[in-house]
Amino acid sequence: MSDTYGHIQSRHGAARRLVGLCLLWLCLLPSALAARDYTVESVPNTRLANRLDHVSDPDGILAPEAKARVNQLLNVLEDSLGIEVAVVAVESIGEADPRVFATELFNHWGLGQKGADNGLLIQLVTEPSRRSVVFETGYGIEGVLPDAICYRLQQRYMIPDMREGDYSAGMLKGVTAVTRYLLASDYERARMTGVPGDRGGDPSMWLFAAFAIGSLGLVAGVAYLKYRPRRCPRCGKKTFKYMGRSVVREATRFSEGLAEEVYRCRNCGYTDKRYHTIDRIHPGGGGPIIMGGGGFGGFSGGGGGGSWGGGSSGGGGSMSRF
Amino acid sequence: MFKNKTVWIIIAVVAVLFFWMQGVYNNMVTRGEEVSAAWSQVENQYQRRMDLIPNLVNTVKGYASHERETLEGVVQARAEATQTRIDPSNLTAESLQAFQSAQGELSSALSRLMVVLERYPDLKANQNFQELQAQLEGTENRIATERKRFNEVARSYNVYIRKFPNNILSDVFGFEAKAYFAAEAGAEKAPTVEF
Repeated sequence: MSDTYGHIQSRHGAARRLVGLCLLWLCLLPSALAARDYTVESVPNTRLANRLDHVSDPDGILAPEAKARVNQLLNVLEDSLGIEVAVVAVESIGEADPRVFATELFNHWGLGQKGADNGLLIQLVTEPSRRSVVFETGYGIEGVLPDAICYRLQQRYMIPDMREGDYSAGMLKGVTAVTRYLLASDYERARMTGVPGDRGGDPSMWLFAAFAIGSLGLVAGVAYLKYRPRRCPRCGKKTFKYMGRSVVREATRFSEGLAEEVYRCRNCGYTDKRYHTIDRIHPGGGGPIIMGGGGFGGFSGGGGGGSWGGGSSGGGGSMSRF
Repeated sequence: MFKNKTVWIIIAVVAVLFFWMQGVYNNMVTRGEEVSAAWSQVENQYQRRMDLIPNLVNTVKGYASHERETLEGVVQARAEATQTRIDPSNLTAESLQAFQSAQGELSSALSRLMVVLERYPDLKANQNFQELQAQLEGTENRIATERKRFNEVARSYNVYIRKFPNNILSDVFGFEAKAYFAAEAGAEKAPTVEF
């Protein structure tokens, strides 16, 4: 009797504990589900962990596929124009004004390269009283992406879907539109010619351009000297031309090789051959030189941490509430 | 003469003083220039706002011709604000006060206009007007940002020239403290104009 009683008692206790646990869980659930009110400091900067990740979406507002596509687009944009774009989607920012929040977040993270200030922040807040999309442009982007254009892109590509609650589609369309707009704009040209928006050109780029032009000229000059028509020793016309080079005997490690260069006159058909020796193959030094290793430095690992460039914003951009 | 020890000590002290003064003086000049640069950014943004107004007035005129008075208020406030300018080397509390009140007049005239325009749905649906609106908002946000930045730069300058012993030099060479922007009602926040 006492045995059964004790058994019932213990079962009862277990059930009670279970109910208690359920209650506790139910109490905790809303607070776990309820979004935090993010501050400028507490929005996670995903770029620090992975420099290819431009999207900070701590509340999981955007679909993973949309995020992957957005990252793809933004990486292309960053590779081609150097413009650093961050996408932030949060539910709530508390009592803060979304516009002011975006400006402060932009400057806190330092979007865009330092000096060029070519950053763009796309911020989505979904909590009803602050529901809005904000574009925040850096000083260097203001010129190609003026406020009116920001507003137009938001209205045309983002707001229709977002108003329906489809944040992923709206964000993807918006990012696509912005990327296409920037790639089609003459951002690079504007930077090179020092139109407003340019703050100090890049001298190393000019040095590089001069070097490239110089070496191109050198190659062209050598080619001209080689292929230019000469005076034919037989008929005297300027039609005696270099036809090509063929190897008569391959060079080995132990003996020199022999190559012949053929010159022929187009007019009279006179042919001349000039022989050149080919150097012996030097062990270790004869193979083709492969310039490698450095080409993919910027991508190494694909997942390395990085940071934004330290650009700043003067508060340009636009906000659309919906 | 140079065998005397005191002469050497005097020379050393003078040299140390000279280098200290040189450092502090040059720092003050640099920081003062930073304040001037920050000020010109502030002025640029206010100018940007004034440049937008004729366009805005023209757009509004076509739709809301009854609001002549409100429109004229904006135009007049703009004209007055245009005349109030500050030489960055003369950033005193009074001149900044005058500047701020002239621009404040313009701000309130603009917000009065925006409230009135609530009654014109056709205008609010006009794309040109919407974009002007976005530009105006962006400019207000820029103004707020640059003002904040100016205050920070001016504060660091003021702290520098008032610190001991720098204050002795700033008195001697006449470096004066720069005025800050006072926070007026709603100045810290970009005015939100909703439709």
